[in-house]
Amino acid sequence: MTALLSMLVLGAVSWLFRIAFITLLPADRLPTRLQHGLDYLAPAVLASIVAVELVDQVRGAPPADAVALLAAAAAIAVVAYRTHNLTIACTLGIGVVLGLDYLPL
Amino acid sequence: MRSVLDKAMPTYVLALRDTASVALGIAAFGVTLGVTISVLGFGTVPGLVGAPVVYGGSAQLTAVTLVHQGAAFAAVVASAAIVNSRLLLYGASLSRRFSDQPGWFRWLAPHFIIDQTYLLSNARPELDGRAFRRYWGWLGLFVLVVWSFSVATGMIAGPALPELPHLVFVGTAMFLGMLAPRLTNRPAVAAATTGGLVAAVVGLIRPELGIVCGAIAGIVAGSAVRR
Repeated sequence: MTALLSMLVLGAVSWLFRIAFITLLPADRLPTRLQHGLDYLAPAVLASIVAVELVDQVRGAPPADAVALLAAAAAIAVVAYRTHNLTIACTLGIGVVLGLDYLPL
Repeated sequence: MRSVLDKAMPTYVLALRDTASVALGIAAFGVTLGVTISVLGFGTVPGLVGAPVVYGGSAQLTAVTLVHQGAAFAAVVASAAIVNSRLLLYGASLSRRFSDQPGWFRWLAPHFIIDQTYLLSNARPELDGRAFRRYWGWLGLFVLVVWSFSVATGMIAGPALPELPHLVFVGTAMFLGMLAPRLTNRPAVAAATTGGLVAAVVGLIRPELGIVCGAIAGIVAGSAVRR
């Protein structure tokens, strides 16, 4: 019961977060500097997600896996920068996973 | 060329194409979450309900882990809510595009805000008014279906699936694929560099705070460099 209730309450809290600056207090009432700062939210949050996920995956991993993951991440970033193609990035990610989990290294 | 072709496309086709571009990353994380739900005995109904209701994989994963560890209800909700607090920033950033929409849309459609829908719509600034409303509705629906189906697959078929301990890296690759093309000017590079460093350091100490702290630090850095 705790599990189901936690999902419902968390869903309600998340919905409040989602509507907070859209419906309850529209962001155009926020200070102009703050509004302009949000132009950089996308690169900031993306880099934050990547950093947290990479740290989580590398921590406690065997050194060879950690190096391979970091090298693969750098390579995928370069490919994505040049191609602007998300599908290629995801496909490369799958290749890395299959390589790490199935190739006898 | 792309924008000329895209303008001629129905919004549901644009949404479907955008969903397809991130489907692998979403599916990988969804299946990983589903397997975790199954292994930790979180329960089928809470797991299936949580996928579309919470609609945030990291927050749900936090809640699943804490419930398994026997944490108090308030601690479960508070910790998972902190993980989802970046939704406040996404809402603020999307606010302008919702401002001229009907009331029902402003109350209900923000439920579709997650990392991927925010970032995909952010890459289509040309859509506004009715076109944005239709695009956002289709995008949210398609991504929700992919996400919920992936979590359910992980829960139900988890034991039969091959062991892939690094599967979550596909999601990381997806976010890298979204990040790299955005690094086109100094403020964006400063925002990403600062955000990534702060998130990594904070995440080592308090994992649930890493992303939101990194995002805020990145916004400050990007704004400072622009001036």
